[in-house]
Amino acid sequence: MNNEEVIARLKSVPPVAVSHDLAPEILAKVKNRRTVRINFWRLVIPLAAAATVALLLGGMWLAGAKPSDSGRQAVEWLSRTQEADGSWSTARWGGDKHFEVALTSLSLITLLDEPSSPTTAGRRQRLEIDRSIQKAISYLVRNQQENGQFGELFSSAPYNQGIATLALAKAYETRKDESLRLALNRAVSAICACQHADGGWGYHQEVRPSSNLSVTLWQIEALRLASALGWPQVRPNVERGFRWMAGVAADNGSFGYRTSGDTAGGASPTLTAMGAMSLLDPAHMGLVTPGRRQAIKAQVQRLAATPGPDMDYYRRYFLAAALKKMDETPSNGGLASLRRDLLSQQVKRGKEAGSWKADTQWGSAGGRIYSTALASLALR
Amino acid sequence: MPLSDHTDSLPDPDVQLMLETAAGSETAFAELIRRNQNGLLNFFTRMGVYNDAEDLVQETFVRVWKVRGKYRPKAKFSTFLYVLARNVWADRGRKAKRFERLEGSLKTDAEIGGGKTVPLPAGGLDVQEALGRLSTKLREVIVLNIYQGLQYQETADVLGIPLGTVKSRINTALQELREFFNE
Repeated sequence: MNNEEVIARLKSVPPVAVSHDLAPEILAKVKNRRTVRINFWRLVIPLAAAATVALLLGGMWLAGAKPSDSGRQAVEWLSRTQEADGSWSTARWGGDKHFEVALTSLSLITLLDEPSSPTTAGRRQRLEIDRSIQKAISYLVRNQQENGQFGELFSSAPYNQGIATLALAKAYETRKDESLRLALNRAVSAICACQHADGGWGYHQEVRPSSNLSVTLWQIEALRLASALGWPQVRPNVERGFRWMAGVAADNGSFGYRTSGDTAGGASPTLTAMGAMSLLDPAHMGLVTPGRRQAIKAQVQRLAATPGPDMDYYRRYFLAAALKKMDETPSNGGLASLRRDLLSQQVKRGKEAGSWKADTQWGSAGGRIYSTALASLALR
Repeated sequence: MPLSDHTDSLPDPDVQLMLETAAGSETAFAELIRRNQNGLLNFFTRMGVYNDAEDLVQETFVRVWKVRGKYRPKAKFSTFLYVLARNVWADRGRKAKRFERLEGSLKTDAEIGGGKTVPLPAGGLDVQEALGRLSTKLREVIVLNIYQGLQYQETADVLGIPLGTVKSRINTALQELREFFNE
């Protein structure tokens, strides 16, 4: 056998092909992981200006809040307030007891998303966070039934299901643990089993089941991450969900629960922020026409230009996420003012330092856990 | 013996796509992925990765995106891409070794990780076994030059070794493969 024959033998093996187009998943990943590219002069000039101001104001600048401090304080507050069983209590922090699974899941997502600090204190805090994370995961797994459902069955249980599945998927992303994989597998199956024929998801036990954007969004977010983590079979479910959601968008880019304007007072800013966050994802660019996409972006800009201290935390979180998908940087535009508002409203002193008051819409359902988790995530 | 050391003077469309990607175009990046995803998948499988080869393809493109601002079209795009892919493959090997040490026993590829397994092509077991017997240094020159179609100089650039070393390694590898196939 000569060299040519060896090469022919090597080449006799046909090439393999990818199981599906990887581009949408990779685009979603780079969007999620996108780091702010720091231009040296852009960094130095504001820092120099800030240092000058700090000197002039006698160090007052140093006392001011920064997002990194804010995130650390929020995480500390969450770690401090976690119950021994790994949950966060609505009896202590407000909110509807039915949603304890969802609130524990939101806290878990917040802890998982907290970046590590390289300092010694940061490493110590990381260990504490890791312990909290493990306790929260155990709580969720303990509260999952054989059929994958989290907590008890009631009308709004799909919120628990979607948010808990998303939290477990985020945990599985970094902890490839077999028991976690099994729990996630059951949770994913439970979500898929409840998808409506039109592609959306809605409340349980409805006489006439109808899909609902808010419920659908959490299920899609959970399935979307799961599909990237080893459950490719759910991609058709995700696609159908997105298609249903795209159908909710009005020509002017606003959203409602089922159609734009189906909430009291016309189109809902919060639901518009939720729909925009999902449909502005580059992986789903083809689901809406370029004109509709522009209209959605215009709605996001309009919402960001009209901030207010009474803005609910759902809206702030999804609006921040939508603005990030529109490539806004934290230092300018609507995202900057949204962050400023959030930083100014974080409790600075006392027992509740690091948290946010639950004094806006849905505060009665989610309490201080909901406001703190979503405010902290909006600042990331 | 020509192998794949051909020259071509046609413009490299991937370079144009990469330049657009560097300028921030996600559409160009998606097209770049689609044009190269199968090539990369084959690179990883021929380097002996079956269990999470698609994950490594994804990781390679994530790295392409991260360093897009530093890209300069000095060479063919494939040179740039395979430098990153080889780093991803090497990192994966280091992680697998750490995992094996933790487990205290040697695991087979299929037992490591939880990713999607790429099926082996039918009839290719002897070739895979032959490639598996080569040292990493010999295997990577064969994979890059013969399978992925990189020229000698490109292979040298990807591996960071002299051109003469590439040629001698290819000859040694072919000799070892010939002995294996003659067994």
